[in-house]
Amino acid sequence: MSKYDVIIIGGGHNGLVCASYLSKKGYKILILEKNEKLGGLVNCASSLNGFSSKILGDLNIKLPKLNYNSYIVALHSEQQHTILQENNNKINFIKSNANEENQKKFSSLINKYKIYASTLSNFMYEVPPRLKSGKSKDTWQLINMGWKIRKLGKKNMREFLRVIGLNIADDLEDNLRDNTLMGLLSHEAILGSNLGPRSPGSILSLLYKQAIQNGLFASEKYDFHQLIPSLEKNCLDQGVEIKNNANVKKIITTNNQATGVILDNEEKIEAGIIISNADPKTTYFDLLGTEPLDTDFIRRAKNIRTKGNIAKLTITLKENPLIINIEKEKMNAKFIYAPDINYIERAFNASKYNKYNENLCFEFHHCVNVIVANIYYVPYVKNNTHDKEKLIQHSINLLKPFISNLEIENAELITPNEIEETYNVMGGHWHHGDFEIDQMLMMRPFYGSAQYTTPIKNLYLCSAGTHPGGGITGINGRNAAKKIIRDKI
Amino acid sequence: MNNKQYDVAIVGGGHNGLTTACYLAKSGLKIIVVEQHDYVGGAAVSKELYPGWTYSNCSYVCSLLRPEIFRDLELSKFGLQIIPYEGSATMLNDGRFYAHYNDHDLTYRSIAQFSKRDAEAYDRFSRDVMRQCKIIKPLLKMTPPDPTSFAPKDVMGLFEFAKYFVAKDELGGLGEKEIYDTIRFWTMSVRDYLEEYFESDVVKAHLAGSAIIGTALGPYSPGSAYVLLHHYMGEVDGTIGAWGYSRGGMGSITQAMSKSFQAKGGEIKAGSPVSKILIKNNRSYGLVLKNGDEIYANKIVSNLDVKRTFLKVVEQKQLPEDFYLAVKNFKIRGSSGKLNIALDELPVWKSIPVGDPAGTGDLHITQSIEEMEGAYDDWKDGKWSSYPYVDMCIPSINDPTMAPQGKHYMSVFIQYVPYNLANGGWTQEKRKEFGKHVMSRIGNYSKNFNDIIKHAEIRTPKELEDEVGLTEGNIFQGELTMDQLMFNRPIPGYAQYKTPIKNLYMCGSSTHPGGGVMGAPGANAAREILRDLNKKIESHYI
Amino acid sequence: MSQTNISYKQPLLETPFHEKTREKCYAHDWHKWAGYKVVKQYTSAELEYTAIRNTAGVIDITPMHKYSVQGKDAKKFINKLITRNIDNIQPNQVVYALWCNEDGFLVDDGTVFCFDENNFRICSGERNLNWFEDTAIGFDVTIEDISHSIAALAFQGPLSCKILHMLNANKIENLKPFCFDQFTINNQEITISRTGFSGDLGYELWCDPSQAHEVWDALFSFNKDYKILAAGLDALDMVRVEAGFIVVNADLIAAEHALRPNRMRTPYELGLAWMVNLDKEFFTGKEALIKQKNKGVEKKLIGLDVQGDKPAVGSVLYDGSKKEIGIVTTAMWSPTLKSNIAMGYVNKEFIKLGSKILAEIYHPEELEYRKIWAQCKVVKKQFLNLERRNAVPALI
Repeated sequence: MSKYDVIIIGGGHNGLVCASYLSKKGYKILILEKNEKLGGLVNCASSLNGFSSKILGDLNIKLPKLNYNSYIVALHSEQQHTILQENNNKINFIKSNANEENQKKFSSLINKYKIYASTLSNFMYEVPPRLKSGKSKDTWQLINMGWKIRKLGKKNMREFLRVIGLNIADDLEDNLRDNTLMGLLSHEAILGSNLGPRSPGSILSLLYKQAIQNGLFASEKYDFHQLIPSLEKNCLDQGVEIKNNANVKKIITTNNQATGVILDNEEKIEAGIIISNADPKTTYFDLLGTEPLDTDFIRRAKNIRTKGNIAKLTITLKENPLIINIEKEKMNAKFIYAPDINYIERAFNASKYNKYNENLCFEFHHCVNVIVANIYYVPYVKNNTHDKEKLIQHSINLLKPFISNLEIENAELITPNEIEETYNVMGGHWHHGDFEIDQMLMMRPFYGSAQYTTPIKNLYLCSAGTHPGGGITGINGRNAAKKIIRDKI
Repeated sequence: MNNKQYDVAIVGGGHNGLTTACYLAKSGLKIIVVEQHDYVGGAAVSKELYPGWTYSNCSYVCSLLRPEIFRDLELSKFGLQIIPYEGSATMLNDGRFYAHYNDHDLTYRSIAQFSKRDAEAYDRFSRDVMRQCKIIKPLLKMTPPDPTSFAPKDVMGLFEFAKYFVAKDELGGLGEKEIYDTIRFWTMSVRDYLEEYFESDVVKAHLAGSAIIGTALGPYSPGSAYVLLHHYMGEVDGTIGAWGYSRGGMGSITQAMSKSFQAKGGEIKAGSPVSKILIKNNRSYGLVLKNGDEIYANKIVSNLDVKRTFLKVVEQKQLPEDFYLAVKNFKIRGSSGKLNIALDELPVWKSIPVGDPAGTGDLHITQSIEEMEGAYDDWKDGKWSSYPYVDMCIPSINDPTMAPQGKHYMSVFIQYVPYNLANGGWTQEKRKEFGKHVMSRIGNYSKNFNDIIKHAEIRTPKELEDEVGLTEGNIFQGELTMDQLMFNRPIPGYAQYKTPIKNLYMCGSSTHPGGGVMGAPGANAAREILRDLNKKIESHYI
Repeated sequence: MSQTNISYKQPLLETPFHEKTREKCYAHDWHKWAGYKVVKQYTSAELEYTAIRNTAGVIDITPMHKYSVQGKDAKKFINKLITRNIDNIQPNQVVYALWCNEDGFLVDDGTVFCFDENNFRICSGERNLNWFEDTAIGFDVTIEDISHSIAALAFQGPLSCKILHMLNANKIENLKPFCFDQFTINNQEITISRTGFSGDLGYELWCDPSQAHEVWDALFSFNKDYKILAAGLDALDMVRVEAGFIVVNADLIAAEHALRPNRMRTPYELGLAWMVNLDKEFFTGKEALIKQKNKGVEKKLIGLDVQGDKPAVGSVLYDGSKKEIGIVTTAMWSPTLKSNIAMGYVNKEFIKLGSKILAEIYHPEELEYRKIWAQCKVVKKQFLNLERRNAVPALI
């Protein structure tokens, strides 16, 4: 008998959540984490607003609540910044160049999307049904999904069916006149995707974000740094073993059945169930290898689009930063620079050809004298050919006009290529794969692998590459655990 | 004052208006088609703009015209003949060319020059696209069901739609895998779709061309793969995917339709721009012409695009506010230009040998999908593309009626050209400059092109709007994007050829299934009107 | 023949034997095969057929697709590709193989030649480069399409060994079925395999295009003593039906090309269960085939002995109450058996040998079709089983 029932490859948030649910059912679990630190891509992120409160409730995890109201600052090149705040689902404009009508329309647009997003959020906690499995369970689930969309009512359903295929720029331009506000919402829609504001599907990507996140501009509810330690503690308390610095080299299979893993140091560990929290491509091509996979399956796996687009910049300053035209007490904010639709679209244009543009977009916040910024679009390029020094300098130049005391002590930047390297995420994609219609629900990551299962018996997926996708939600881990529990009973 | 009472009056004598008219006339109704110009045809016209030459000066290829309509309207009897293309080619900068022939083996070898893998993948690709064509073909003929409605007609319609998906595999229904493929095909970008099959740039570029013609999408935009189908599902003599010329230019199609219409007792009133649709108590009952004449009819059908119909000839006060706003927000963007050129002799290409059938079909100038996307980027910035995608054909090679003996007519379609230039709008000079820009691009690929031009007509989306009346010069009467297809076309809730005004219908390409000289919107609208009138006719289509 | 030099004036390539075949092709009856122009009939298919069964026939099979598979994972790759197990394959051995997609549907069939552990050649009827390359992802192999660099002749018939022997092919009579070796005939060193598509004693000769004429001439050099004939594809098709061999695109549509999903077939439906090794660790389609094996097939390709002498080409098959139960894929009058034979698919209730069914034959008679209801009996697909086919030493 092997020592473990379950091995989870990767100690990211989904791996930890999955372990938590399974260990509650009495499974003996080992988590293998490649890095020193748990958390995976959480270490690259900066917000916990998407994390499922249902999961926190289920697992009885109490994260320390934060009690402050942060601001959203949409930076303006002439320092006429827009400042807003979201309280109890209501957006308050502190300062804006937009007239009242535009401010109102901005809020009502977000509210319109919220209705559709709540329909989508119904599907989040379900193992996606197959479209023609011939099983009545799947058919019922599909009818149920259709019913939920119908429940929107005639008018909303029509608009919903229209906007899911629409691009965000069109809907914004139909409704708003203020460039900054349009830029701001476009930013929320396309961040982390391979879309520009004018790409069809960019509204869907925003809806999805709203579906997992309570309030697009809401303040941080929880202390970001507490999530992983809390999940870790929860796991350890339930007897889960966690092994750091343990890079899995290969998943072992016999007779089409996963039986264990081999680590870099050739150590072999066996278990009845293997769950991969690595992205699907890495799982299939690197960890499992193509040998036990059907040719058609390999073709589909190869076609998942996973090109990352965001670089993360961390700079340490001599003192706390000061933003021009922003009062000190409002420095507790997320600063966003995506000034207008065309600016973003042009930045996106360059990334299509695996280049980056002089004029990138970014968002950042600061903690004491450290600024953490997401810079996009900085595409993943084959063979990592970015000139990193230049990219850092370039990124700093982007920040410079807004920060009056930018004296840098240290600057670090992680390109999508380095995200790939460090976190074992192919393409360095935040969400383990583009979130577009052909890569969502029962098609995420692709047909034949979309219900957390794989063609290999007892090998499961629980990463962001599965339904419902990326963002730090933990739902993938939960759904995978539910699926496994259902399969095994 | 001249006023007469008709059963149905049709505003606009384009191919869809005429198609609707023909079907309605077949049922014995008294029909009038009111056309602003002295000639009918809309964007399917042949014009002699240079003595001796016939230009198909808007649309230029006939492949999507539904064969059932052709048959129902007896178009051959009224003079229409379609001549199939013999091949197509893409010319490259390095002096090579990539060609498709009617002969499968030849095409295989032509692709294999660039990649053996792609030559083989092409068969699989064609198979998969053909599958999609088979799925969509019946959908073209269908009035899109309203998914939000519980009316039996809509529920049945949805069921019809779902039939393929539900039917058992043995009964020819789609397998689960094919259903996913279908969803992917409808939502992906053409570039992503092609990447799954091909490795060679030129193969992808050649095939991607038809996905961007006429649309304000780039090959990287999600949803563009579907547009591929709009061009792929063409049919000439039962061969799906075949393209053809209409003998005598595209005007022959609408000429044949108008003859067919008149033979059924229909009346055409040309040279009569409509200034207003008369509406009382939310019911339309007639038209006011520019000259003040009024025409009365029990039902009015508009062949104009949805924006022109409801923003120009229907008064705003007659429309529900939501509907009015939705029409205002309807996406209809000019993105294509056209050059019609009279040539002294046949152009000799640097790459394609004289006599090669690949040179007699449509010829593309493009190097790669990236170049095409770059052309789109220019358009987004309000400029004409620096390296436009050029789709040319020389109908006079196969059609003896288009140009004087030994001379030739060339149709050049250009993607992308904006409706509005960012730096100050179109002027005569800029239009000429644009024409020169395109001609010099073509000139680079030809040995004699620059020396044989006798006359050139340059058309930007502006001209298309001014002359034909297509808003912003969009050739499909509205973008073919996911938000404006099927039951969303043109306006969600009004996709069944009806409008908020009673007795007012739409039959233009703004409606399902969209543009491309198909005639399907016109025939579908006729079916709805006949159903409302409780009339039945004998037909292959309806 | 260079593949890159293309001209619209010559849509079809000529094989290295073209000059020779053209000389004998009095009927000018040509056929397209994989982009090549090959002979359908030289003079008369019946005569050429008779030669294959009576003396020997020479068939130009150069258009066959040939792929070289080399590298350290070559054997592993092939084992993943095909449904049989080649763990024990020896150098100079050939196996007939099938490969399927993930749903167990046939992608193609062909022969696998083993040169050594790391060097194989696959010959197939369809183009398979994409399928092979995609199957090879993650394997250390190089796959190359070598179709155009190898010329091939099938030399089939009772005298084939004798003539090769007379040409001093060293100990050719000892070459076992499904084996190959290097031989020298007419001073040309070539590869000869004891394989073929005729169900008769026969060989396939593989050589460099530059040797083509020498090899061809050699085979015909004893024609004053023994009259062998060049045979066209029509004759080849006749002998393959008698032998019960299937042909992709005649008896089924290859999975990569089928527009209608229900035109694809699994090995079980083709009656090729013996070709599927479910004990093997893995191959593409294994899961699906296990499922089908357990569930049983809905329809199956069987042989039919048809009453009368009118070939049941394209016939629909019925049960006694005239309910449709299947279709005929291939049918012919067998000159050797003097029987009216056919292959076709029937529903599972009728796959048992001896089952009685009806064929609805539309027989063309002077511009008019006559409808015939013919009684048929389900028989083994291998209509003709000749002892000399597998005899070792072979008949000299």
